[in-house]
Amino acid sequence: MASAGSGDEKAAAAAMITLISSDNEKFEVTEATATLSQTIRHMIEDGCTDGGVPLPNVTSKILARVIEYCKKHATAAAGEEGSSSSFSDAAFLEVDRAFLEELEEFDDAFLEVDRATLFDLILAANYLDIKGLLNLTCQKVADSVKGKTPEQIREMYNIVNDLTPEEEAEIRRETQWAFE
Amino acid sequence: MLAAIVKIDDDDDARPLADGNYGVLPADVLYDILLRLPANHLCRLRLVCRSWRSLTSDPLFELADCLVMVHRNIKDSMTDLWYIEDTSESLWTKRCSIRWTTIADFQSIGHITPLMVSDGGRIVFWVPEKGIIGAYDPKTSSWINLVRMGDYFAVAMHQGSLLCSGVKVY
Repeated sequence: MASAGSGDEKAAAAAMITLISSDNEKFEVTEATATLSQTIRHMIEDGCTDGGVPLPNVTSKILARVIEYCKKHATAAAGEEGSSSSFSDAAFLEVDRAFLEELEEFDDAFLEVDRATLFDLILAANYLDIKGLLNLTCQKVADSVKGKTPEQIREMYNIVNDLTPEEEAEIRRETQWAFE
Repeated sequence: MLAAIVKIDDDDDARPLADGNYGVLPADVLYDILLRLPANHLCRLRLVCRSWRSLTSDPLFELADCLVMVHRNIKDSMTDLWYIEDTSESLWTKRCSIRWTTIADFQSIGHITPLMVSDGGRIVFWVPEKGIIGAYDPKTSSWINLVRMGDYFAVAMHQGSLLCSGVKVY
């Protein structure tokens, strides 16, 4: 895990950033991968990434997954930049489409995690400000809530109902149409 | 962003989602998640707990995911579908363009009016020239006729808490 990025063709030429998880594991990633995180991008711009970037809110287990996501999507972003110059090339667009489909499959497989991991990924994406990952994970939670009753949601997510019976009755009156 | 992050054992699958209980998901993230849900789902979610109720009572939710149709080119019957995703940031997204003439037996159909968007993403339309109510599926770019209304002047469908009922067809 610590030698992340060694498989990249351009790894030798690209600047490397070291990320340090809460349990003190070090991950070396390319700048292109790391800057999918706006938080880290700002740190790089401010020149405070020497000696590694400590991420006290992210465990090594979650950070490994986040890096996996960023690597895949950093490759995608690089591909998009390359394609803009030959935008009219139909064959190139076809390749692009195949890659986008692959990316979608990657995202679907990436989300096959238990609820605890999904939540940790959301927290990490929020803290690191990775828009794509936050969007992906939040949509997954939204989909899981869709069509569920309030009771089912409370049970799923371990939420205590702190509404008084009077408040509940009031909400039911306000939103009667949604229950029919 | 401000809410404390509470670490719970990794094997514990039941993590609290509400701000008022443990505060595991920050309020702005929960807000982002709830904004992705259709209005009738959101109303039911007000009953989950206090923090969900106050989040979903934001007036922004009333406009979220509102569908806007732009008839781009009457001659070609091109229609763009835009959605208001986030009113606070004026975020509009074009989800799809429909070229009506490529859909079977639709020639010079004139003005088409959207009636509702189903949970599956299908959009129900009223086609005045043909007196038809049909559904368009943006995922497959296909159309099915639902009802042939005949010689009616206008059709409208409304959904909302003020109407106190699910759907009304005039």
